[in-house]
Amino acid sequence: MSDRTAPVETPSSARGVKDPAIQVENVRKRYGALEVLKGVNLTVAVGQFTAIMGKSGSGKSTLLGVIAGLEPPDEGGIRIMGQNLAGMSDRDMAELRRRAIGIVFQGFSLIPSLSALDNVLLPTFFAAQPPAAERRQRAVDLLKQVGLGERLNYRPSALSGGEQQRVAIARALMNGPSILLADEPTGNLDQETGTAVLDLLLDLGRTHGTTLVIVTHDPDVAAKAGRIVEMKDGRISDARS
Amino acid sequence: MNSLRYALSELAFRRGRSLVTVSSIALAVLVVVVLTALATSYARAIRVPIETVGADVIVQVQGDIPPKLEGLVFPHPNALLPAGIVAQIRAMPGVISLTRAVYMWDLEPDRYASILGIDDDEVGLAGLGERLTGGKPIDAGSKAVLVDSDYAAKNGVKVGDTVKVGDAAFPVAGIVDAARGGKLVRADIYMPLGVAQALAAAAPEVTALYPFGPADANLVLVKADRERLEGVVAKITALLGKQGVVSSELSMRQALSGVLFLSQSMGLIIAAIISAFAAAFVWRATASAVTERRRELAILQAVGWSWPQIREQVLIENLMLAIAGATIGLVLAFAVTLALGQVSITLDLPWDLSSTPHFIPSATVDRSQTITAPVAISWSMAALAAAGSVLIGLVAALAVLALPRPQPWSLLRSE
Repeated sequence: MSDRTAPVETPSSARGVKDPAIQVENVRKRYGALEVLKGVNLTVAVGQFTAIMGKSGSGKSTLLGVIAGLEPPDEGGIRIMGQNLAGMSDRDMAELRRRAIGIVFQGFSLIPSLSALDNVLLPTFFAAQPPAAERRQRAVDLLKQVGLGERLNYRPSALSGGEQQRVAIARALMNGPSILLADEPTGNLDQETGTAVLDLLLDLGRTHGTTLVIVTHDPDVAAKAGRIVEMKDGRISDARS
Repeated sequence: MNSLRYALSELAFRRGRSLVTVSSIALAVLVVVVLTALATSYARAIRVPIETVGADVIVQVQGDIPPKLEGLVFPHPNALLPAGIVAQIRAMPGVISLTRAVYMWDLEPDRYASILGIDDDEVGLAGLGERLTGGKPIDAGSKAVLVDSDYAAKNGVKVGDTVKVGDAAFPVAGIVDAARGGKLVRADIYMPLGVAQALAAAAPEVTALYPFGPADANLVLVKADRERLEGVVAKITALLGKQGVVSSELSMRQALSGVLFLSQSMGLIIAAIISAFAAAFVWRATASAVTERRRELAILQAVGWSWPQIREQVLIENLMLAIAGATIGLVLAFAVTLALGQVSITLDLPWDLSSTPHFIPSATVDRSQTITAPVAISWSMAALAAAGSVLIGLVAALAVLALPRPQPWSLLRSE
């Protein structure tokens, strides 16, 4: 990622035009000789719940990484809430992720040395505002919302898989992001826990008015989405509402 | 949560690695500081014999053995130093002051004594006056002499007695404890330079070898600017040629290098090797810690940390390890030097610097001198070692973080 600071564009919403939350334009991504994304176009409206489905290797997870700004595309453009990611510096990209994007991973991805509460606080680590006490209170409230009010100071190793994923959801929501990206969020959980976690994610997403994009294999998960995008061989093969 | 708390959690979580890293830094600091303290103490000890003479450089010229070993003779390391040469030495840059002396043996069938006639200054007669154990001091105009306490005890000499030097007799004005001043440039009988010069100029066994005049000497003690000591020694050596014997702490160090296995440079070399090992270890520990935490660093990027912010966090962690290591190392070094207390070294002093006739058994003296010097930490070296540790910690972290890193998504994705 470049360290150059890109000119910050004025989001078109600020100009009175309603932008989509996510706009992917002709994105291509290659790993060596293997082209994983072959000119993908996708638009996700604000507040929409979209499920991206497809077989392993179809490119759905790579597409999510590209949208998150954690995997640079080789070609094409991404706009998040009207902001073009192309040429954005590492610092600006980090700022955008911190401000606008929450991510939930299949493998929970918590910091093992930190407590549940400190993990949730990570996105606000460098924030000057709101004050620390307020931030802490918000993290506590989020952990209570995900049912972990009694486990604030537990390290990840002392939590079950479902509990860890709930901590990850609370962390993803900590900064009140406009967009929540989830990469197989129930993939490492049993059916019952997976359903509970997914319901929680949808519920909180709805409550916070968040645009939700979930990558999943699971048709039951996809069934709850307002829109399903099928990926096959690096292309979107079908999109239905 | 702030950076320090996060760093502490991280270091405590990986306590095995933290402990090993801190220990290696502490060990390096300990070794560097203690070896430097020892080396400095030894270096100080080497300087002691020359320092006790009161001069920085002792100048002599090698000569010949007298044809007959009787009466007043010059030992062969104390050949003629003409007044003109002495004047040239005095004029050399870096020479602060110069004391002339005439050193002789008085070889009689029934007795032996070493005689030193010396200028009346701090290094010479005035300095001897401070070591009086009885009687009174003498000056340049005196007709009396001072007698060494060992010689006086062995020969039953008291203040007010008369001692013979060559054919002349001199009243004893005082007894001096010259041993307190070390074993270099030491004699049994001390007298004003002028008196000794006159005796030497009239001594057949001296004049048989050298055209000794009443203004000449055969031993010169030089006080020099310590910053320019090497230059002064080099110039005098060049002036006197291969017959010159120029002694200083530099030549003592050279001559005693076999005894002093831990010279200053050796200490520094060992310390440098250990520091290099410690630096390599810290680099390796940091590299494997960062490799181990690649996924964790990717998570931080995913939750909105920029790479400079991540780098700052890793630097803080390494800085804490380095400070902890340096602190423990310094505390241990302080404890070790306190336990060592002082170094003790026995030096076999060069015969040339206070020659005695080895063919007279009763004149032979023990030339070994045991010197002790306190072992004290050099605070500048301690500060340097601590700063070096911090630098090693920071450079290791920066070097590791500068290595190419995988895209964070590749470490976090589900597929």
